[in-house]
Amino acid sequence: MIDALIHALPHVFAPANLLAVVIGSVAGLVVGALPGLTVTTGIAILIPITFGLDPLFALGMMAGMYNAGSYGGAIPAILMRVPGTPASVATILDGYEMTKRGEAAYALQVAVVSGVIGSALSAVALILFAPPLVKVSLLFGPAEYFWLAMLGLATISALLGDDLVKGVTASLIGLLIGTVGQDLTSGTERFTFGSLELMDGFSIVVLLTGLFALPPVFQMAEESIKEGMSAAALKFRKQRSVLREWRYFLPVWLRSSAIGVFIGIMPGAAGSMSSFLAYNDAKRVARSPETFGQGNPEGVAASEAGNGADNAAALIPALSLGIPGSGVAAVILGGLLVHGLRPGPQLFRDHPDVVYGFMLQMLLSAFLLLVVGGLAATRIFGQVLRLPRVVLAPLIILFVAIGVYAVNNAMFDLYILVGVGLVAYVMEKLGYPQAPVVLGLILGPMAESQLRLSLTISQGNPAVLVSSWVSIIIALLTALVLVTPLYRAWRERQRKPAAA
Amino acid sequence: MAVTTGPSRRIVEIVFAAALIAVAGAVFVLSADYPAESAAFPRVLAALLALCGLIVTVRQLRHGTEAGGQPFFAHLPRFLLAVVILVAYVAAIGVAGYLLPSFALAVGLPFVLGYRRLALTVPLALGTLAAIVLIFNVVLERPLPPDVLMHLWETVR
Amino acid sequence: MKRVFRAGVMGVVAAVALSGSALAADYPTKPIEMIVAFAPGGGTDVAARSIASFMEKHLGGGARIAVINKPGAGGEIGWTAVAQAKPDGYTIGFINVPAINALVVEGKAKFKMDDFQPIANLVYDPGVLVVGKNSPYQSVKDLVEAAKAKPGSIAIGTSGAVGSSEHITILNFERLADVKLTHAPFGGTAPVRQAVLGGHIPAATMNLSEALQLSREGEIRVIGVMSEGRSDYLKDAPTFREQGYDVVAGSSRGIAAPKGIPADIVAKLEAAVDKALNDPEYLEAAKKAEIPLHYLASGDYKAFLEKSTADLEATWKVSPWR
Repeated sequence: MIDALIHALPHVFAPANLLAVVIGSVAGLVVGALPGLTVTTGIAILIPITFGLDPLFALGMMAGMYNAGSYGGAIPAILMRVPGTPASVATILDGYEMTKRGEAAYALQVAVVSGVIGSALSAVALILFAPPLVKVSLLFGPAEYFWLAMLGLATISALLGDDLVKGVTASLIGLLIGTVGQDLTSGTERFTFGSLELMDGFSIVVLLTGLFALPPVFQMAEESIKEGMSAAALKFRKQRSVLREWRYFLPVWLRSSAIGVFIGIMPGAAGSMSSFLAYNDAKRVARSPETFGQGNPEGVAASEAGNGADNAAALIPALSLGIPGSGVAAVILGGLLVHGLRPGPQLFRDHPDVVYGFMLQMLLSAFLLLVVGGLAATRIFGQVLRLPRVVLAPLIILFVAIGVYAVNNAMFDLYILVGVGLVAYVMEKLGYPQAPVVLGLILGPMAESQLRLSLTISQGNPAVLVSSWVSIIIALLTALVLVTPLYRAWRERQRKPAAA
Repeated sequence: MAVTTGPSRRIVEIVFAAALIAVAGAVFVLSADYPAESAAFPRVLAALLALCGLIVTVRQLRHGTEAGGQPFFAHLPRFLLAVVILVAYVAAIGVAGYLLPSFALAVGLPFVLGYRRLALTVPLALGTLAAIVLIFNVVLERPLPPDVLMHLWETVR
Repeated sequence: MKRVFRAGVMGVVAAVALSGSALAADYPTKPIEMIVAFAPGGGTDVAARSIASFMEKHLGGGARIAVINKPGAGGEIGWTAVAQAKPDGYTIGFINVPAINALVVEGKAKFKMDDFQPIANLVYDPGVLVVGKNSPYQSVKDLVEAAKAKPGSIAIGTSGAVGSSEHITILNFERLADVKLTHAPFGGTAPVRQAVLGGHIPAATMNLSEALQLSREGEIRVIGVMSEGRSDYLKDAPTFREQGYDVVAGSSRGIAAPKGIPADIVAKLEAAVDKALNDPEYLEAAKKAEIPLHYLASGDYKAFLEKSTADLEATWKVSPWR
């Protein structure tokens, strides 16, 4: 392996291939930052263009696009509360609050550095630990995935907000929306009203955009704010430096990256789980968890590091077994095939220079992100906030509308967008939190279908759910996640009378 | 001012909770047609949702808080205006395509909300649309909603 | 700013509307829309995008093909769009057999198979039944005997949902072998592969091309190939027919247009596909990637479509999958 790495190095740093990573990063940043466009789309369009080029040139572009695109979602999330991807929802929770406080530049900086750390650690895991990690991923069958979904759902407890009933209501709304569409196990179409568009359920991107991006637009209209943010609030050098505070962020980065890598290698887990799990974990161990959701930079760091760490890790089962751990990994496999490279154990034997070269490119692109994303792009994007809000809001709608249309090339999604946006505005004003809706929506279907799948396979014997030690461990973790906030609340209550 | 305040917060709370209960009821009725294993999960969720809606309603009715009496909307006419404009915008995209309605929205919405510096809004709208066309349509080959501008162009030729 | 905007719009407008009339002689005069009924990045999408660039080359005259994704409802939304498009040769689409026929046979779709003018088939990938490397089953017979001993105890994983082509194949197999199996739909190829590799499911169906590498590495065992004869790619794997079960199934991808498209345009597109598939550059990559290319010209493709529809109708009568 060391030989292969050394052998691949000159190819990776060949000027043309280096340029490919840079081009990919810039394109990825744009694609990731625009709602409705995804890295998957970007790479799919890239594939035919790279026909006949050096594989490492093509893969370099893909690597750049992957890491930069996954960070790109954080930019509109932090600045405008527009979630480009489900993963950026956890970033919105604290990132947008920081922007409102005038710390947009600092928030972006936290996001980009955390993304770099996550992606880089993930690439290192891909290079060094692919074989053992693949073994871990194979331990997961339907029963284990069911528990993983339950673990994800348990993290809702960290997002419920002040009003428990409303938080639970929001989760139930998300779970119910998740049941719309064809039920995988029996083929029944639930709540589709005969509409083809609803057969696969609601498009997650459409719902997310409606939930998060539209309410501020309505609010802007009501308040009719004609000023923008001052230039001073968007100066980068004036604000704190993340790199100088590395000691403070290090624990969050490491824990979140470990979570991201773990979720990344699970082909059956929803990709955005990693940012939520990382967010929950950071909040759980934090000294003052109540500051999460109110602009705590650690929340942004956890979400983005977890999200970045998902990237390269998702390639571990993809490259070594041909099992893509995410949509992006799947399309990268398609790109490999176009170059005549079949994924599987033999890929490492037959084309070590390409495989290890690609892994190194994943690592390289993580660091390039610091330059492309951190220094250049965020400065430009950030300036958008200087526009008066009444002017900015309709421009956001233009991007949101075209992005939502582009998801399925369907007008239907635009109607859904407006409807969801209106309901979301009312919910927000009434104090129903939105994040639980998202988690319910993403993880509900996973939990239900995996539970029913495991029962189908075991012919209805529920013992299958606790038949492996992996299931038992995750079930215990779920319980731990649920109990921690309760325990904290109980301890607080014990302490208060004592203090008084 | 009395005309513009709209419903109080408490009314909206109760209406929303009632809507949730109605949705839960609808889910319960609709899932009657599904096989038992498909109906079970949504039905459990619906029952819990109805329960939550009930709790919210009862809470509002029993503890009339100070905040509950406050108007829900900060400025109802402007909110309604925004809703109408947004709905009109999406409907117009279906009819006239993406570009014209988008331009109208980007210039018109600030204008009716009282921001009248066209020297800023018009170039911004045009620039944004140019960027969108460039990125979505030209580079990434994503189609825009079918546009009347294109038909016009075709007939003019 | 104004000029930038105008240039942008005009560029797009000009590209779409280079000429109003669609004379077949100078076809194509504007970009051809190739509708893919699945999301960007899926198998069909990648195949479409790769072949589209070679078709552009062989159509000549600066032809452009834009791949448009209309995903949803298992392909139904995109296929409906193809069926209802104007038959002027500027809308074509990828169709997948037997998924598309299955929708028609169920009577659920808004289109009939006659609404399509087949252009050419590109790929045919036979189905296979695989088990994990530690599985006790060495052959289809072992599996059938085990299932007979305890009916319903053996679950077969598929990447589809209820009513998917793989599910239909399992129903066919159950009938031919007179045995009761359990269908476990995973809803995606990645999770079902993982489940069979990790031993979470006794057996699974997938396409031959997806099983090749893992089977050569000994990670999984192909116990039956659903083709008429053994595959050149995997000579050791026995067919179902050899083992006494007449199961022949697979999935194919081809290009079709709405019916009523001028015959000379069909011929042009057909020729472009043929030349694209034989382009040395494409051929080399396809060979290396072991993509099971299977070219069928318009007429043969039509016959193939008719036969698979008839087969599915027969299946639907004896064992409806919904």
